[in-house]
Amino acid sequence: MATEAIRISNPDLKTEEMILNLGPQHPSTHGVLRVLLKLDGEVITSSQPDVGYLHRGTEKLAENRTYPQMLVISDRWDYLSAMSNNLVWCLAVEKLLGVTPPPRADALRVLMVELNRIASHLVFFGTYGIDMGAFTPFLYAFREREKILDLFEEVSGARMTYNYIRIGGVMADLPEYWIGKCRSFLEWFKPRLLEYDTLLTGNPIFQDRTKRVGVLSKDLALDYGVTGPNLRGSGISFDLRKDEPYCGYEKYQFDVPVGSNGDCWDRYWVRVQEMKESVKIVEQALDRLPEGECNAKVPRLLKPPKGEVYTQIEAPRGHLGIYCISDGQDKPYRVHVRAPSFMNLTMLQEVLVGEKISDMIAILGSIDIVLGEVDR
Amino acid sequence: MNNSEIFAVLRTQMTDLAEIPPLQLPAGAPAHEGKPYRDPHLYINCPKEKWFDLAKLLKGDERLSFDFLTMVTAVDYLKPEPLMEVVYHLYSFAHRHRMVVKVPLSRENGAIASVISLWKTADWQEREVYDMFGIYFENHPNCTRILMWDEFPGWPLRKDFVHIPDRYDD
Repeated sequence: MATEAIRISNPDLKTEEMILNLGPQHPSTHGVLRVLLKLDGEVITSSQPDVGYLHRGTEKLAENRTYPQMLVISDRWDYLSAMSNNLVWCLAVEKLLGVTPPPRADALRVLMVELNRIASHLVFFGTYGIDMGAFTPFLYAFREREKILDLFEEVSGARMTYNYIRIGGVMADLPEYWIGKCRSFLEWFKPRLLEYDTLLTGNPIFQDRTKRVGVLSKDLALDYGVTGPNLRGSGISFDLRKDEPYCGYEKYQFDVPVGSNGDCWDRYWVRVQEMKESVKIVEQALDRLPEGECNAKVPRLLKPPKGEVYTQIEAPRGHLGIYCISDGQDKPYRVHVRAPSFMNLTMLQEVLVGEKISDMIAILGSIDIVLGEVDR
Repeated sequence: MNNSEIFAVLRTQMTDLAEIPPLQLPAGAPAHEGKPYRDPHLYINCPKEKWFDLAKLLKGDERLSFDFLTMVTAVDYLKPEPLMEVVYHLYSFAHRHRMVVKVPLSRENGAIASVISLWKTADWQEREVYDMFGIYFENHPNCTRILMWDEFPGWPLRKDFVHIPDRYDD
């Protein structure tokens, strides 16, 4: 029996725009984010993200803290990659002070930041699977992340807020046998990446839900100040580790994965590939870890001379920048944090328009925001 | 292009721009205080009436083509004279050069032209500056508070902001 299309031709039938309030407490917003969606049927006609629920006034706090004290607060911006936050703050203050960390400290910093990048992308991988309705990858990803957190715990004593990278160097040298443990983790982790490909990357349902969804063109990405894997997913090969190297990144061999279409799939794919590149960097850092001191000589009371600095690094979510003005006192005069998630989230206003409501979570998840960093 | 070439291009189009010289050590300062540091970029001081024209030039001119607005923020100064500065960090993906523009404003009822029509990333960043400093951005489609709630009294990142104790201080 052929089904007949039923056409409703009632003149009294009215359609109207619907406003959907997504969040603030929604498991798929990865934090406290509210998005005001206007819907025409199931097509999004307008979206307005509402942020600020996690605002803690970092920049005001910085004006009342000494430079080393601020390091503790920096952990709380992007709590999934606290090492990067430590690093950018230290680099900024070291520039003001005119201090150069010793080579061993640089290598240790690269080592930690890259391990943290893997951990951070693993959270993305796991939660993005959940967003798409695949629960299993989450368990796999967190199993691996747990091992990285164990490594961090041995080094710094903390699992989330490390406070390991310090002004002038790092907190302490590696504990005994740590290098061996890290190597055995890497050997164990590399085949796991192939497992992910069979779990999620090669999954046709996952591909159908992400390919050609939420396309961010090159021009739009630049216009919205999008950086990091989101920018590279749109086909622009720009990575501060390659283009403006810091901490001796120019000495490491690695590739910058670049997508082509700028859809959710490309943003996902770039992150998965980046994990493989980070493994390469960690291996190289372990291979040629220089001997020597891991701290530069830094005065106990830090009073940088008057100055103004803008430092940025390639954090797992994009360009994390610190703008710091010193007036010669022991506390910074003004600190501004250029949080990559904050800029990346802006594009949601435009990318969501015209998409289906069921793709909304796919797009939001693919941007990979951390609300602690958006609201600071 | 290097700093002086960028500045030369700007000077041919606009005359009332000034380059901000790097900070110098004051005469007689003790040596242990160290040398002032500033990034080796071009720093430009632009009057607020000219800012939008300058922004159009920076984005549109093929030799400059600053297509990426890295950061917008503001700084509040009480000394030597009360002053607020809006700071724009710009980057060009085409030519791989960067520069900084500072626009001085009055602390009372400061207002400046929004550049959201040139760089869409300015949207939330300008709202954040408004939220924290009370600098109004003209022609911004939605210049409202973004991180603080709408009823919040005062501008928290101003240097003379006084925190009124509330129930959270106990």
